[in-house]
Amino acid sequence: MLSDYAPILVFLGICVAFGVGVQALSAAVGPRKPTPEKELPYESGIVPLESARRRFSVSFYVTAMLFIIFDVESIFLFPWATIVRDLKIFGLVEMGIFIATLFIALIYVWAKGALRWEF
Amino acid sequence: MTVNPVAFYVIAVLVVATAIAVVAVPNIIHAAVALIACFFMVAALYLAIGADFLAATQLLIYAGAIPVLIIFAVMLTRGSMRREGNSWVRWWPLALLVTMGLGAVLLGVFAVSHDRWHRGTYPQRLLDDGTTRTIGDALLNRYALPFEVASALLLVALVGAVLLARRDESEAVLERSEEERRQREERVRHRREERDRARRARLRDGVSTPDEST
Amino acid sequence: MIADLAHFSIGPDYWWVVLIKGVIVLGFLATAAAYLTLAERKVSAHIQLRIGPNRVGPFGLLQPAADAVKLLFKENTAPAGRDKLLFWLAPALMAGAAILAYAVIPLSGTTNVNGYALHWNMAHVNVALLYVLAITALGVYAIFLGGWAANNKYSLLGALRSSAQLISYEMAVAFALIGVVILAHSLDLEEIVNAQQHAWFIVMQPLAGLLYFVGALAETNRLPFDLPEAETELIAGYHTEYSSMRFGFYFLGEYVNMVTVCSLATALFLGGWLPLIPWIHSDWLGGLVGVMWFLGKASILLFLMMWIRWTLPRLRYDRLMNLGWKVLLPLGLLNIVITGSVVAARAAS
Repeated sequence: MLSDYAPILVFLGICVAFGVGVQALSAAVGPRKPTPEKELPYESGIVPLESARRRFSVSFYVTAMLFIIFDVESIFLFPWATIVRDLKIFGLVEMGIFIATLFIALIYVWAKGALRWEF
Repeated sequence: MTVNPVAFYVIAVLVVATAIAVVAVPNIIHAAVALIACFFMVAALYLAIGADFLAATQLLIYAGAIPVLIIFAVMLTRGSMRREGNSWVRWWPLALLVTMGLGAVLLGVFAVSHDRWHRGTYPQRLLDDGTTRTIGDALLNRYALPFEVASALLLVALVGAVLLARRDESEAVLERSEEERRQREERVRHRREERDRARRARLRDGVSTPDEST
Repeated sequence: MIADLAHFSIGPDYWWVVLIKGVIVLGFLATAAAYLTLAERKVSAHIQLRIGPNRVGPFGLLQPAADAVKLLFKENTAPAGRDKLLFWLAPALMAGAAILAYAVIPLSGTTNVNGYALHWNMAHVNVALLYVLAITALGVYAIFLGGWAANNKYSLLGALRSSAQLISYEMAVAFALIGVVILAHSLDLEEIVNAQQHAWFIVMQPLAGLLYFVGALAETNRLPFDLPEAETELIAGYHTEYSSMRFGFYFLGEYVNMVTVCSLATALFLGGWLPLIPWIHSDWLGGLVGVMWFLGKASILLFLMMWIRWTLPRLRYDRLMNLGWKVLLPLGLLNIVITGSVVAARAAS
């Protein structure tokens, strides 16, 4: 089983070598002349006032939460999809209940306005 | 089927190393990166015991989704990301205690059910065809009820997330952010004056104009 | 010991075959990405009644090489407030994840070469489809961490927008693909292509195909969904501060992602390497012809993506999120229910 994935491991090694090698080469052949002005974050010519790392809007958090929940749902759907032919109507009803529950969840979120983006 | 011991120990060492990095590095975003690496290694561990679908799930959900939520949650709760932000490092004795308790529970479970760990033999069929269909079959036939309960659990989690987010937008928070904004504007005005003065001085002195630095 | 390890780790293939394949795939993807930039500039030029790059080599064919050399010799500027580790790691992760995802995409059917079963991909795995989804999903970290590490306001805004966009459309894509899995009843890409012998899945799953393509445009940050970059407002967004080869890596990752989503769409909906004109598919020549068919179909999709980019304007952010959550996701669920019902009903009768 692991041996099926061994080529991916080899490929990962090639990718890492590529990523490190090209950056190292670029650092070696490129010039490096930092000046205080060059090291300022680019803000269209205006001197930056404070750190960019600030609090986010809560909408992003809700989106991430929704994402995880529907990601988990999709993970349940994949094995079901591979055997729906053998399960016939029974499997369909089961998955129907499952999808309906999550569809209700989506409608709830929708109705509550959590999908609304306001600025 | 037996697990190749070399592969197992290499992966296990990497899992433990990345897990230690998660709690040990001071920068919390770096900790999140270490967590992604750790989840990745756990996926490799699943592959080592032949659980390919579980490994894909681990990658998709744990490595691909959970850290996004963690990063967003961190960014949501903290005003700015300070470098010395990982305050859990200070609480390490407590963390050690909790971890040891958890370890004791796991060992207890292992001790009680020890003989069962050897009984399960891995059918060759699963190694050839993969585990996806078998898992689907188990979920939808033998464990149909827990499967449906899982959907209800997801629903509850979603409702909870929405409620949490709503409360954060309540008036108290709005007031606080309004206050913050006023303070920030004051600070910004002050700092802008200061910096512009400093920058003008620097440019006038010609310390750092590109032409002269070469 | 070394021999033991090699014997253990490389199952169905010899290790040197794997190594050669790996170098070929990497070289192919890098070249494809480089020439896609040229293609993009040519397509945009002709759409705007210009000629496009034509100075370096005949028809500008050496332009990508010139660009690569120029990028390599540029200065690596770096803002003072950056996160040193992530500023270095994120661009490499972008390119690396994009390339790594291609490992399981079969460019042609398994070919018999003198009794040796030649797979036209790096690794033949059972859960290939989930593997591609999971690895491409790592791109979100490259973009988010890259934007965050630069400590630039444009970058952070771009990174935030982008990560929310990517995770939203990842859902739409996953749900669109389940319809295909129901029909093929497998997650193995080779089996999915072989299940299309009688009819391509785009015929049976037109809605899923459309949803996937729209989702893929968003996943690769292409117009009309290129909000993370949005040149006119975010000044390149998450990679504002990146220059030289670090910028090159973001660019490479983006174009390799285009190749990956178009290849996946080809395998899932357009019959992969299956020819329109029948061809006996057994020896290595047959396999190579399969690769040609595959790349031909993928190229048409790539051209379509460019055409769309130079035709449509950018969406507003709230509309983008609405489209993902309120249109694509429900439609994806609907597609699953319809497909599942039809398949289950036919199996029962």
